[in-house]
Amino acid sequence: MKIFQIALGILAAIGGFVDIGDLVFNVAAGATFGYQLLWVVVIGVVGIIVYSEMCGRVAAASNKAVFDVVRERVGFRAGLGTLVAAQIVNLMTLAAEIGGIAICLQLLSGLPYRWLIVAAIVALAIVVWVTSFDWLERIFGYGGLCLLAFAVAAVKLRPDWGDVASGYVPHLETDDPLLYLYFAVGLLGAAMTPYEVYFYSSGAVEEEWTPKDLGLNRANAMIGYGLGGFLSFALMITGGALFLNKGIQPDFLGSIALGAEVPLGKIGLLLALVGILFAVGGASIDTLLSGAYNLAQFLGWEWGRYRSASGAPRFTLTWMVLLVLALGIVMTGVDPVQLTEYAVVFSVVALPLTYLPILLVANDRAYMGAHANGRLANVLGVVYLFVILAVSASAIPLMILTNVGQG
Amino acid sequence: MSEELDLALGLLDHQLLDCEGRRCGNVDDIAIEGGPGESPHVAAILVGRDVLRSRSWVGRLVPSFGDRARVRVPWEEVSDVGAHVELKKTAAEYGLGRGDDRVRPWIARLPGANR
Repeated sequence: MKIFQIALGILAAIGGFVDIGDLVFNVAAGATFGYQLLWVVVIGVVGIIVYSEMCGRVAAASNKAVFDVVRERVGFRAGLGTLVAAQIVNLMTLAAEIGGIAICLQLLSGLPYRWLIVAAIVALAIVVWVTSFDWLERIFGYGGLCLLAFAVAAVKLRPDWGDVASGYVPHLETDDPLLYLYFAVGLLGAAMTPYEVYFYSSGAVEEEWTPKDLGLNRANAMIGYGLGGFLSFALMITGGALFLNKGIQPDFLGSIALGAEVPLGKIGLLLALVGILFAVGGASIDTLLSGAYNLAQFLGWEWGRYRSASGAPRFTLTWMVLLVLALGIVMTGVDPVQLTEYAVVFSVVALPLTYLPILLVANDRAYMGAHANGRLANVLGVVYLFVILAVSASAIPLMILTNVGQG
Repeated sequence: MSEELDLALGLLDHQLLDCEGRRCGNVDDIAIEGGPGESPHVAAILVGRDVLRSRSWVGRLVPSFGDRARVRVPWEEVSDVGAHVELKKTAAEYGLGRGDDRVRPWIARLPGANR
């Protein structure tokens, strides 16, 4: 049974880690800088493991999810600011992921985009309404594993493994350092997107974790996000091997799937599209529920899919409203890939106020007791807080200076 | 509850649970009584939109779905203060969680809402 429970980590990894933001930033980074930015993904993956493990532990020890903790620690006013920022970024991300679903469906079926947006929204509403939390995890987590096609593709494209290896060593060797830094910030933002921890911690409460599940929590964080990181490497290597120096910027989801088609043929394309479909579908559910979790936790409402829909009425109403808002945004015809870039960069700005309260509460022995942070978690937590602050301060200037990565 | 309790960190803004474990609001404010020369004591916890409004202007932006604007729960009704603040009776008996109660009939009409 325990093995099934790793599903939370896998959904968080596939739906949360490898979402439209990672697809876009990893392949684009590969196309622009080859394998040079692989080291940034490593930093991002370790960061998300550290903070997910921490908030999973807080949830297991105290039954509190992220926005319970945010409000308790930073108070109502600053907490409300964090909530508003989180909800805006969440909604943008949700809209982008839904656009991604519609693009995948369009590539698979050839039907008109706008019809498929509506179909995607209706399908999401039905899936969230009827499917229990653990089945949500399993369906989208395991479906997203089709993305492993990119790992096969990366190998089949015969990259120069020496170059790949040197990409894991931090360095800055480029004619365009601003663009390089913009991609670095984007990759970190995509790896450490805050909704991953909202969803992960609320999911831990949904699954009614207790301190007995701390081993499971650690395994989930490491295996899940480790797998996410592995897929990110594969995407970047594919992007580098296929698009670098060819003047191709994969700013369309279809060209990302091309990365698997070139070396693997039709089957590769199909696996890539299905994998992307489940990954962005899982991410839509993560962001949708995160939006409802956050609001309910901040205002003290009953919440959770482990209640019946009528057992947590305002929570249910909130996700329904969010779905309608997202429909409105995608139907304006905004490009999901561009929306993603903005969402990732803005989410970086909201990171510090999300992660600081988690670090503080994970150290509070009043209710963490023996499960409070050890020295390793604290050292890493503080180091990453500084990384996040630096990234957060530079995100918007870099976005402006590089014209959103257009150089 | 003989241990020391940090009101700002350990009570304010914490989640309220009723005797059935239902989430029914947060500790939005704390009423402390006792004039000059008397020893101050916690008299009640305050919950609701109006309480938040008094804490900051942004409180006005907090959506409400028909919550009674201000509920006063006497301190004697608190059974435990740990990770959450637990109450002795059901939310309904204090008039808490009415927003959820107000929305419930609408949601409950949808098929499969009570599973």
